[in-house]
Amino acid sequence: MVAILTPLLADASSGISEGLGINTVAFLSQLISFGIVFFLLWRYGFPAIIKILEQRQAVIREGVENAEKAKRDLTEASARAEQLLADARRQAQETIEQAAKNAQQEANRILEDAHARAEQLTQQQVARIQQEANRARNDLSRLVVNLSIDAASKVISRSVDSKDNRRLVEEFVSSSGQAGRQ
Amino acid sequence: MFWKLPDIKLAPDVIFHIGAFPVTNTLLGTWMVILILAALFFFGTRRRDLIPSGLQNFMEWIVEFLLGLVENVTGKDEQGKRKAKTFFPLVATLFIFILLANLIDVFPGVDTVGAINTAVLAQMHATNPYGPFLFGNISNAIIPWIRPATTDLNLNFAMSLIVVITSQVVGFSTLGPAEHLSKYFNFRSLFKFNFGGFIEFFVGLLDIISEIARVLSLAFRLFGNIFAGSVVLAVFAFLLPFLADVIFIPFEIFVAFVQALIFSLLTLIFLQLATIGHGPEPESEQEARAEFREKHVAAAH
Repeated sequence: MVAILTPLLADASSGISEGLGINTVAFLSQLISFGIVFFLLWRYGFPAIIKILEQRQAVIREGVENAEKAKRDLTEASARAEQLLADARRQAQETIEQAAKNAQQEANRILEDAHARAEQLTQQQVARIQQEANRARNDLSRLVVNLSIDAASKVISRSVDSKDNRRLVEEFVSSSGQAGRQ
Repeated sequence: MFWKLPDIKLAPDVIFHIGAFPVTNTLLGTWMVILILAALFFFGTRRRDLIPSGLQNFMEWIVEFLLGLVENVTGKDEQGKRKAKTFFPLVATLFIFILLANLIDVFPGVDTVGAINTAVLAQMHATNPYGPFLFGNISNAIIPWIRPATTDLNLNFAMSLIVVITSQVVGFSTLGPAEHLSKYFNFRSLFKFNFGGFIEFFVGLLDIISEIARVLSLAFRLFGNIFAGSVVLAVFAFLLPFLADVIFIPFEIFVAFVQALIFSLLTLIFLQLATIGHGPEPESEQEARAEFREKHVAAAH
């Protein structure tokens, strides 16, 4: 049975493969051709494209990271600027307040100096007036004495010892002056 | 008769010999695809601009599409990406190569330009005709110089064999010889000494047959679809010239894409399955078995 079937099956299979065009040479030539395609694409074709894709991916990732970093930096810079601005405003306010305070102090000091100076000038003027008054009073009393002596000389028509008269008149004038002041 | 329908032959024709080596029209189709692919990749990757345009953009789109496809099956985690990197070259090569090999069927001149079959002429006692067109009873006596490569079972078997052998190699290297062979020779299940274990062992043996069947199914599916498409184009070109092409050429382009996708997706699935072992039985099932065994041993005592 087997002896009969085997050549029949072999004939049938060889007939089928012949009809389908399957043969070792054609199979090997197609296998090698596909192998060449696979080798070329595996070694050169795909790596070249994948490398470009990876490079672009890296560039895009770097770009996104840079953009995020720039955004972060901008936020930080804005916050810092706000802080600096606030500090500057505060410092300016403090400076203005300090300047106002200093100006007030200076004004007060100038005013006090002016008051002191005015007081000093007043006292000086009063003292000088006093001095002038005393001198005028002395001149006046001397003039009164001279006039009195002259008048008395003319009244009694004689010359009195001028030294004694002068002393008497001066005592009189002095006592008159004191009485007048009193 | 103005034209005769073309002879439908499964086997490729030998066009010429290089020494003793016969060059068939399907082999010329394969070489044509190789040349087109080489040109596409050369001109597509020549400039390598950071902002792509034209052919570079197209080539990058195809590669990204295929890379995404592979990663969708293998997974996007670290292990999945490692697997994708291993599987991608074969899957992508198969897709691009089969797509182009299918598509050359709709190129002008493919399957329609060729030499006169002198045997047919002798049989019909006709003289060798002159001119670029064949008419009358000898209009089917043409041997096309180029035929779509995927209408040759030799190429389809070669690719299918590569796929199945690669999946075995991947299985051996990923799982280790013992684990991988246990898929087919599952002696552990025999030692369970029950009907389920015997069935598991038998299923393992059936898997050997399914591996062989994969070679056949992959090869014949591609061959059947593309050969049928080729025949449909040829027959309808005679029955309804010009008008039929408007309908069938877009359809054949669609079939070419689908068949390339099916072949490469099945390859990807076979490779992915090869990396998955039996795995431990569910704990609950093991516990149930232990409990069952204890109960029976106690009853026997």
